Amino acid sequence: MKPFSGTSLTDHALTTGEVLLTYWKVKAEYQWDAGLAMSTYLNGLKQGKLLGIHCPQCRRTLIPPRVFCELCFRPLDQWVELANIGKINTYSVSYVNWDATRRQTPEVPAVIEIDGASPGMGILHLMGEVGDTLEAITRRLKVGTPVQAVWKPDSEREGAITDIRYFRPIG
Amino acid sequence: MLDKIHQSRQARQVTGEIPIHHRYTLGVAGERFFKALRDRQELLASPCPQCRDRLLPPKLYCERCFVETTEPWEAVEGAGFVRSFTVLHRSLEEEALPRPEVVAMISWPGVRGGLIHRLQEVEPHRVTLGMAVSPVWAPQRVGAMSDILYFRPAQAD
Amino acid sequence: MGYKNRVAVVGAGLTRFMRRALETPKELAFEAASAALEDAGLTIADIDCVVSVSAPDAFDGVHMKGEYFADGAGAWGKPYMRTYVGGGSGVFSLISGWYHIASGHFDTCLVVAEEKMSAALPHPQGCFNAIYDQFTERPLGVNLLWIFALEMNRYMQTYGIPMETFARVAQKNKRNGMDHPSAQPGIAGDFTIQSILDSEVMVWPVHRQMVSPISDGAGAMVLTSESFARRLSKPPVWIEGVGWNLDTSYWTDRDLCYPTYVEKAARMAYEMAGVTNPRRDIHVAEPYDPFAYKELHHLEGLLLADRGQAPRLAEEGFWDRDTETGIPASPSGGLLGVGNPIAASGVMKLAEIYWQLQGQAGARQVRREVRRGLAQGWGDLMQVGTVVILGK
Repeated sequence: MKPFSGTSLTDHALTTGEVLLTYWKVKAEYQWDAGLAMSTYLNGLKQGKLLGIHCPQCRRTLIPPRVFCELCFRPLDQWVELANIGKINTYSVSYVNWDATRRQTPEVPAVIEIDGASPGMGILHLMGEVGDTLEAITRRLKVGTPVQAVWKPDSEREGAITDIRYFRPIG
Repeated sequence: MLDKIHQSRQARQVTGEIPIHHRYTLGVAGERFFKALRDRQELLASPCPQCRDRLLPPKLYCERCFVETTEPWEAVEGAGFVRSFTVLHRSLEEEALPRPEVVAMISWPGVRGGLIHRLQEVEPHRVTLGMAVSPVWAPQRVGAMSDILYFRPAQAD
Repeated sequence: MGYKNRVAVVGAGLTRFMRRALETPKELAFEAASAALEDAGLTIADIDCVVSVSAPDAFDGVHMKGEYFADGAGAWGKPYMRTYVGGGSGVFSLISGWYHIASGHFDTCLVVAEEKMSAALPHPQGCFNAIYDQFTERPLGVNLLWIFALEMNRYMQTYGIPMETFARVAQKNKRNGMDHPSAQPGIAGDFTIQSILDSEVMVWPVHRQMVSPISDGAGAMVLTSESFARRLSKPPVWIEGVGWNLDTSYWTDRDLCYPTYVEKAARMAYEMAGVTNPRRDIHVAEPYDPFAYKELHHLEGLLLADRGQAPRLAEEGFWDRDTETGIPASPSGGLLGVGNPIAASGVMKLAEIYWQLQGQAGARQVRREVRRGLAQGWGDLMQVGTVVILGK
């Protein structure tokens, strides 16, 4: 087999003008409509409530809510107010930002199963009040650790997932 | 099905963008083409050993015969000609331009392909298919299409 | 089932995998496609149709990049189709090529995968972030690694898997990659378990040495009908089974511990191939390994290990390249050891199975006898499984 082709460039070649480069930034901004189910969910957050939706066919209570059950492929309309508490399905400890730069203090994203939704139904959010070292965080949090939503005050809520500041461990 | 949303303020939107930009290399063939443009004010074409076409801009391979192009890459000589053109009256943002601008597809005898570029020093209504044109070079060149400022009608000298 | 044609693989080719390539996406596609045609002993004139795959356009920064690099894939004046299932696209490329020929409509198909991720600044993660839900997830300041770290932690905690086991998978693949001619500089190597454990924590439990890199590269394969393949000098390798399956896009509602969608894709492929006992009938595997835990996760989804048992088997050397009684996994070096130009890395895995079955894998040739192997991809919104079984 003959050697494969490809010309690998060094950082040096890219920064010294050794290799020609062009640049481009796409001019595109978006406005995303939340639609029926998600608008209702976001309006619920503004009121300090976590809303789920129930499928009478598979009997699952789903969160985040949606206008159809993707398992039964039927429309849904039975809203259910869920609890402010849940338990950790899984979590991680993030030392990098989206642009690959390092963070000094880590963030702790978690999938949280919300009480009142069917087992395994969770949402993504951040954990707080868990310490700021890997050792402290991994000691404090386990799969199954009970947690509670910490809401922004009424006046600051705007109908966004960030109306919940974070979840904190309880018990 | 869910009730319709009756009050428009109940319908939510989120705005945002995808926060990236791009840096492109010009490639094996592009490096050679744009460096010749920058350093020698030459427009190189690459020949296909199979169909014998000379490709402009030059390519690493002939996309029709799917074989690598071969040496020598030679510069096109003499004036190019207008294969087609269009007259712009509005900018990308759809604002009226102070005066109409001509964008032309320019080729050379004996090559396959050509360049898209601006055509100036000519009234739009005087542009014709086949019109002979030549490049006006930028005094400071960086190895980009903008090293040619624009094309203009070829001088009859 | 009533397929018109049995489909053969008769050639494969790759470019080198690189952190930053000089070549344009078109040029990368051309280099890989030419190498595959040469390996098959064919020219573009023998090709009836072309299939391409590539991950999101936003990486290369070219809108409709499948159309843009089509001429580098040899598609001038031919029926051409780009198919796309995110990270699963590389393995799906052969499925797409397969149904072009199995339909009876074509005798030959050139399959080309291309990716140039280095164009996206400040980091390709900027593209990946847009796969998260714009209402419930993106406002939290997400990055792509979260989803993998969350899956890995769920898997670790459910089965009590030690971090050393994941380091061992990375060590194996990075060692295997040392023998691969496409391996990206700096990726493959003989690393100690300790040095992998000591590498930077990115998003715990994911360490830097347990993640595949960002890469540029391309890969290609040539498929033909049985009658066409019989006229060639090399013995063909057959596509014995294909399978693909998609889970819900509500990923926080999924079982993060087990890739059900991979199992469904594998069962579809096994049924078509007549494989009733995968652990007996599959002799070499290329599971998708963008992360060390993912190789183990996927080996379980492929039913090559019981749930939660792939890590123990890794400790026993069951997946090692020189195993005599186990099933070698990622003998190529995988994404961890060769590199991860997303769509192209799936074709690299398929090409490895092809070369292993042909006995052409050189220093990477597995010790045990192989008559049948599989490659598996994973992607879309972390929800698709794609499986191809090759046999001789």
